Amino acid sequence: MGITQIISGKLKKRKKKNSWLATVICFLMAFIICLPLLMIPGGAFADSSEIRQMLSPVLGEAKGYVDWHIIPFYPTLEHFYRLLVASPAFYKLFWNTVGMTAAILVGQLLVGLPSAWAFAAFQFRGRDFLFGLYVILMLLPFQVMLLPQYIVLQKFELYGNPAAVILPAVFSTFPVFIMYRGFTQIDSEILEAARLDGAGEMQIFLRIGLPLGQMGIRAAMVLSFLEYWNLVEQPMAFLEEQKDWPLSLYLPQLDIAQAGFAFAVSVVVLIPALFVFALGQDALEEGITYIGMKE
Amino acid sequence: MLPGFAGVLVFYLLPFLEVVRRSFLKSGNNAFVGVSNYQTVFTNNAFLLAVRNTAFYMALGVPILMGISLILALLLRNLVLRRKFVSVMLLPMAVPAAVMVLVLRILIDRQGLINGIVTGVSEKIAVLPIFEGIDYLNSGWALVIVLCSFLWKNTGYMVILWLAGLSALPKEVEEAAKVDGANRWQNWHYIIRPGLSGTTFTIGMLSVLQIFKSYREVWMVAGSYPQENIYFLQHLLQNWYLKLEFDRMAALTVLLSLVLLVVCLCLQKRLEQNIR
Amino acid sequence: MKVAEKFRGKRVNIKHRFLRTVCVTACAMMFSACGSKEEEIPMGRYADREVKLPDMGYEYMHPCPDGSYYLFGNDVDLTHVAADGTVNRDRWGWENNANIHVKFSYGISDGGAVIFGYTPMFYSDEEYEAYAAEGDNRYLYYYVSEKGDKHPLELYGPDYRKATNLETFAFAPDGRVYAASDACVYRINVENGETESLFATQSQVREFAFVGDTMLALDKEKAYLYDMEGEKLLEDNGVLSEFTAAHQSGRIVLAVEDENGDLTDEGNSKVLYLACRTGLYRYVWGGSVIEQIADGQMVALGDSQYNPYALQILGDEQFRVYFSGNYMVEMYYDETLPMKPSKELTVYSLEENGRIRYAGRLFQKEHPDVLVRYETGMDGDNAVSREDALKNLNTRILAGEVPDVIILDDIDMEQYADKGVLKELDDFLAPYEEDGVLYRNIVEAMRTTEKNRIYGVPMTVELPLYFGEKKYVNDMQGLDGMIAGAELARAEHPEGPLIDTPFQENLFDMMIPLCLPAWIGEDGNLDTENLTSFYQAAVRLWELDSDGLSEEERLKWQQNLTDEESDLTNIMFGQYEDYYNIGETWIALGYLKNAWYGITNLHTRMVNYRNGYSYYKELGDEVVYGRLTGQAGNTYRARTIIGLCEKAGEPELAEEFMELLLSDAMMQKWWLEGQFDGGLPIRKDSLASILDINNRAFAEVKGWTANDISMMYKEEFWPTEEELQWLFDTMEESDCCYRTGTLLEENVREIGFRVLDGELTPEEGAKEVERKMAISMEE
Repeated sequence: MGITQIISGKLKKRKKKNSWLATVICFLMAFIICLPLLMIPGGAFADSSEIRQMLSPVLGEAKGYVDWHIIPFYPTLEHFYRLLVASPAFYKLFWNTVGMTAAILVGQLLVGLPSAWAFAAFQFRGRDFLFGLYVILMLLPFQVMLLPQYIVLQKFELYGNPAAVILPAVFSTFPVFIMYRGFTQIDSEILEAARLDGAGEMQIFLRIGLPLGQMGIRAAMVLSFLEYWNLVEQPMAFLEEQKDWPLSLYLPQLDIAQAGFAFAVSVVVLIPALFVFALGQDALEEGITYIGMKE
Repeated sequence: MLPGFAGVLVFYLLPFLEVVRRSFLKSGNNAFVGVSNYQTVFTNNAFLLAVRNTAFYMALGVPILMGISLILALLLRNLVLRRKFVSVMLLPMAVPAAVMVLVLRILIDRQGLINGIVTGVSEKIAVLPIFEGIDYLNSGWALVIVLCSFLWKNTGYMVILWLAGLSALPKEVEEAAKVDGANRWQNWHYIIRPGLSGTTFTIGMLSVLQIFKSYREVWMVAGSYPQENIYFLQHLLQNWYLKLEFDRMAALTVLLSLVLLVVCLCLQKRLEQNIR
Repeated sequence: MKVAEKFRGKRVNIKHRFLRTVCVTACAMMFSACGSKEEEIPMGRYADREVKLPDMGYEYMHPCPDGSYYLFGNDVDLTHVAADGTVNRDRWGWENNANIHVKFSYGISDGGAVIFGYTPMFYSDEEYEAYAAEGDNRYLYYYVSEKGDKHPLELYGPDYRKATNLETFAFAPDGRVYAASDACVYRINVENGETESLFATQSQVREFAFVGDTMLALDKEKAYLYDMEGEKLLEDNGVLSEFTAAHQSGRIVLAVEDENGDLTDEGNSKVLYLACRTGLYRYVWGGSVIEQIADGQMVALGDSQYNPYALQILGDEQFRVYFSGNYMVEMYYDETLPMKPSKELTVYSLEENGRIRYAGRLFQKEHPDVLVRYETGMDGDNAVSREDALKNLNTRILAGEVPDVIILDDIDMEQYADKGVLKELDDFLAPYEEDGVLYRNIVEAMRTTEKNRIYGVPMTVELPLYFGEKKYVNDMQGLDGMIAGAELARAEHPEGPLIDTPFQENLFDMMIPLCLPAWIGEDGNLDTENLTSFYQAAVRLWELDSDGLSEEERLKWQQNLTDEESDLTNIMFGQYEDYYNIGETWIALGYLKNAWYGITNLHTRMVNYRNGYSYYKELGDEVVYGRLTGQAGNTYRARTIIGLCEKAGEPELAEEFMELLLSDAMMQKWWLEGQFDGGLPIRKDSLASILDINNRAFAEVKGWTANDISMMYKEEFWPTEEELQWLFDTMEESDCCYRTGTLLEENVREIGFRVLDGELTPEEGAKEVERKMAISMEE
């Protein structure tokens, strides 16, 4: 007892020292990463003429260099007004995005988890090949899949329907890949022991697989969320009507003169994302633990 | 797993097989032309350029991304504020591509913010020669810019994955080793590194995936025909698509997936050997 | 291994189930692939016919219960059209109120009383500033009683402050007036201007309807029901509210069959009709469904160009719908039409094209069994780029779903022709050749370089033109001539803009069409020499133009043109722009965009033949004009290039549609409706008759507001016979086609900006273009 106490005290001391240095470095890194992001609120709150003036060198209208005010001189809510009040379509698209992302994430969990578990927990013939295939299918560029996927969607008469975006995303092999990795990190001895104890496959999955593989699940969900929250190409190709579009297609084209509006949109898009990071991760963790404890 | 596989079959595998089929047909009239599409691809100079560039970009981007994110993950793993940092680092990924491109353009334009700051600094230090401003996108810098924005966007996520991998390492071993007086290097070399080989495979593959995905931003910044160094395979694919040359695209895709399959299987074999 | 052994059984199982799934999926796919589509089509559906309105310029229509209606608008007097079609607009005679600048938001009673909002006219800066100082969007109101008494109406909110935010006026049958702000519905006392707020709404109410003592008010989310007698808000009708919310993207107009009695009386259910983009609907009050009786796509309602503004029930299954843009149709039930069109004609264009939209409507009317689907690749302000749109088009083409007719503007025609997507038009064009109605030279210039066939025919063309004083433009041949003229003009006028190019892109807009065809040599490779001299000329012209302008001046100029809030656009509504350009530039280089509405300009913005011509004519005989040439000879700019698809599902219909587009009736009709923009018809007879009609009917004096807010007038001069003949001759000799949407142009522009900025020399620029094109050609 006494010895462990000493050890752990020592360790703690070390840890602290370590973490101070690490904190500084990480803080610096985080700062560097955030630096370009600082431009966004500045642009979102600046009024159009100020933006135009700041950007006039990029627009080819003036000599000299861009001058960006992180805090605008003439702050205004005009872009937010235009976005949140003057354009009713915004809300429709916003909820489209929310619905689409939610459906995809839930679907991926339902579909991907068992697949990943099967890859991780069972040995079956052709497993390696099948898994390799999954990886390849994950890596294929969308440009190539666009045409054949379109043909398939047409066959099922899904084209133009939100399901045309949701279904392929649900069956994406990417979350399987990540979750699989999470599951393989579970010691196979634990599984074996559980099986010998007579635990059913379902039980093993729920009580061992889920809690122990949760880092993988979380990682898959986070990236899926980010990816589908800002999905551009698939909805553009598979959805016909603007009313079904997600918010990501609402951004005007790369017109630098409209930077303020674009920045305002991205602030509005970023806020839910932040929210999800802050709450979603914990909730997910708790949920998994809860499922694991049930029964 | 089976419904999952059925879905994969319908939405990915069958489409992929369709791609394979079309790689032997002539686009337009769908006549069977054997391997002539493959020949066209191989003898195509644009293809060679794109392959060179893509390979170089990946050879540079994947290791750097993996390295930086691993270092950060090692630093972060014991921090209390870990999750906050990670969330912050993930932010770039949540920014819509169109906005990211706007930011990038403001930064790297010839009259952009970066050149402005550099000019400002160099004017203050009188000794330096006058800084003319660099046209990043139209010079050798283009690849650097693409690389930086790729790293900027993806580091956060890779850190998460590394952390996930690290968290699965049994803590006791490490602690015991520390008690035994193992220094940090030994700790890394003998305990952490072998334990991470599976994670390394995952992250490597994902980095490749993300590099493929970073194409849209590159295209939005630099257009269909960018500076030579950043003309990638996807530029070629996209331009072929716009020219209705789906046959060549399909052939190229089949080649690409063969290469990827081989790489993937090799890595997996090595990985399994490693574990044993 | 133990585990493996234990799960051996499982593996087999997995394999079996796997196979089963594959089979099921395959079967499902086969089924959906060969589902048959043969079925009897029942007869009878709504059709519509356009109603000729007595005048242009109306903006509002008020239906009366007796089948008559009122029309009213900004520049016209109140007009009553009786049920038998008698037009009466003499009764009021008060349209020319000098204080009113722009009218909007009208309300009209069945008896002819009118209330509307307006912005005032200002005669001095002080007046304007006094008005502006009280805040933006301030509306003033005006009231005219049934007898014709008229007076400005000052409205006061419930807090006794001046109300300036009311819109959507409506007269109830008993004469009381209602209006809405963005958050409230008010009752207005037109005698003393007092208002009384009745109930709050979620957004601006856009439509009122009255039945007895009840009022229905529709905002974007909800249908409010108000008891005007008891002065209380009743419970809203859930079915109607749901419908409102579901159709909030466009306007919904509402009419009740019988306006007397009580809406909520259960024994005597009222029938409501609603019209919006998606169609005409019928709703029996109290019921649980709103039934669609006409599909928007098959009547004028579905036309995205127009919003329904008013709906009138005529009885006998007939309706009148008035649309924004002063367009009205009567809908009627036609038993001889199949309920659903049996055929579909798909027309594709990259961007919205008003003529095609118009022709589609016309075609559908002539062919009731055909549904014309007009699809556009990109519309409006969103993230879909040209490449994305083309990618989607190609996906469909590669999947075998080609459109029937394809509009090739901004699309690389040669590429699609080479890939076998487009159909050769030589046969189709043979009868036209016999008639000689088309400008043969223009059609011939559309031949592709590779196969030497015609795959697309433009509906209209734009001709490059110059205007200027004789001494400057006397020798305007080629790029050198252009520069020489500009140098002369600059020598005499060192200050101010020289040619009308506020932005660099304007310079390219003007110059590239003159030269582009000359950059591809006979061997199919880029002619760098020509390109270099093009860049040299561009740089020189830009320098000359900039010599007279400081950077600030140019910036100001650009801002005036782009900023929505600049003084110019605000006060002048765009008209000043014309004057500004013409008045300040010494040589006008641009395109003859329309015989009536647009000669010259002056690239993308404006001036028409008559205007441009008149401005210069005023300067005296010293002003001359002629065909502007660059490196490529007698070029023209093609607009609305029509192509047919090789594998079209309905090849005959597609040809018929193309015939319609190329018909004289079409070219004249939409032109007369003011839909005509971008070019001179390639039909000789149409061009001649358009110019002829103009000569007789539209000579006028045009007035504008200058920037000191004073009005100014300019006389319009009409071309003489010789001058018209010159125009026809110039059409005859155009033999080199410039088409938009080529990669070469894109690259030349992009690199051109760097050349103009001095980053690259013209030689380097040409090299850079060559390098970029090389990759593309390698592909």
